[in-house]
Amino acid sequence: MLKNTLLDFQKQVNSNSKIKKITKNWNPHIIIKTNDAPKIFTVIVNDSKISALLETHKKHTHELVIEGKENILTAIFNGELNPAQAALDGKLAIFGDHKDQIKLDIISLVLWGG
Amino acid sequence: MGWLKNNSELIFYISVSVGLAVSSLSFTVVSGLFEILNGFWILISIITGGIFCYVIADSIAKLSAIFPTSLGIRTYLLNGLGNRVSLLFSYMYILFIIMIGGIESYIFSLVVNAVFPGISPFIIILFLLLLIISINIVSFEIPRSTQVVLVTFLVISIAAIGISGIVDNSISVSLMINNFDIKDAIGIPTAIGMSMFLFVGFEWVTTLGTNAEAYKRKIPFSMKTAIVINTIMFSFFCMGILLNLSKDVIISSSIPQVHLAEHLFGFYGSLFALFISLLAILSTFNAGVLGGARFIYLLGREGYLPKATTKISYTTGVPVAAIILLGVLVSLCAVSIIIFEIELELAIICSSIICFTYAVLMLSLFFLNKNNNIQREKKGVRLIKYLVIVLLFVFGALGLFSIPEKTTFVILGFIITLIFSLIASTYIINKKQLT
Repeated sequence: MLKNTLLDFQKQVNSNSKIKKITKNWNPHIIIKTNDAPKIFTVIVNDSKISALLETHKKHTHELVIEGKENILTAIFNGELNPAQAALDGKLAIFGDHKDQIKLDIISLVLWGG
Repeated sequence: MGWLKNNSELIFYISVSVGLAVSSLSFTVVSGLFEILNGFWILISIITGGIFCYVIADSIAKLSAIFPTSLGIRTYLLNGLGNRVSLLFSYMYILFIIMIGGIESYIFSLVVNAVFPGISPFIIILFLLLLIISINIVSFEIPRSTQVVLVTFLVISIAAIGISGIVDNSISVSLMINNFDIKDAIGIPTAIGMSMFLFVGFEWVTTLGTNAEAYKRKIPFSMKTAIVINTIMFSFFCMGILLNLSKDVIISSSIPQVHLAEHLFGFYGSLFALFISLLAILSTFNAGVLGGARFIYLLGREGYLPKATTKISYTTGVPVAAIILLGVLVSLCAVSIIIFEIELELAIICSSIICFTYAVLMLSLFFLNKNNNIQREKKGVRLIKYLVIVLLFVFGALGLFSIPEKTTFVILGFIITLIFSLIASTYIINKKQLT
């Protein structure tokens, strides 16, 4: 379920011209970990788009790690849940540079307006 | 070198925790302590303040382990005490950041003026704030290793000035001991509340953990270590002042570090004090502005602040609108301080706000533990924490009366801050419920 959501997310991000502006020169590996099931994904951002989605942890010097329950992560990546709100409510932990966290939040804002 | 490399993450956390607590205002707080207490009682109040903060840090560490990387008080209070209390204290915290920023800038202008008289404080403040805002907007960050070196230099310098003062004392230690009077202890409760200000900021490190494991051991350890380091450093500094400067000189100035350094080393000493103050203001103010701006941005994203506060730079990910807003408000506060000379009054209000905030944070942990069946702490630990909570409320309230000739303004200022936050939180919650 989460994998399909992430694949949809990848399509939406890559087809949005405004997001290309946000992801310009921004090349992190976004690691998505579920803490209620042993699932881990690596979203590779490269060349202003999500270039790959891997079902493993592909290490990188510039990482942003997102941890939460699978249903919360799914809700975030399909636009049902505001990630900033989820982080404030303590449902989500995001490890990484604050500016990267804000960029990710803005991507969700551009896609879903929440 | 191997040990340093293996523990570089922990050392970075400690340096952040220490660096954010040491500010230009810390030295003004030392002056304030001398206004309330005499002689060695000041040392006792600093050490006790450190012990209080150590207990508070233990509760904050537990909260941050439950909610790693969250937005500190907003999340902790939301989950422990509900949205209304959380929002009330979040608004008060924003006002606290603005006041602290204003006082910091003003004190820095005093230090520059003491070394280079004739420069308008308005120009110094404007320059400083433009510098800090620009640094934050262009997203410049000092490397971690530089941060560690700068904070280490800052701590060693402050302690060294204090130790030089102790060694080269112009006031006899035996005279101080003979003058030690139990009657002077009357100001201790208020002084402890004020001395806790020397440690405020240690908790900001809780937003910087790089992984969940860090929140279990390294971050709690770094906060407690930072408090111990600051207690020792400020104790040396206060001893140095105590044994070299008269009480009148200390309390008539907001920049005792400049007077002590000048007394010990002449003009070059005051230049050195200016450099230390610059390091202190950069270590707190830069991170404080960015941290405060992130706080404003996220409250804006929740819908509890105007949407305009959520504007960011698409290229850097910096919350530009929140940084500019915070910069403008801090500037206005700094200008008001120059015109009306209300730095001590605002510092007392901030000191009370932080006492109350720490108390509700600790309370929040108790409610969280109770509601979520999290393993409770040992009975003895819980009793100590309950006692600290009660005392924090008492110190926060007593602090408002600490300087009799300023009490009316201070109480009025605190009530305005409280009412503003109360009205804003009630209005915005009702508005959200309607929509």
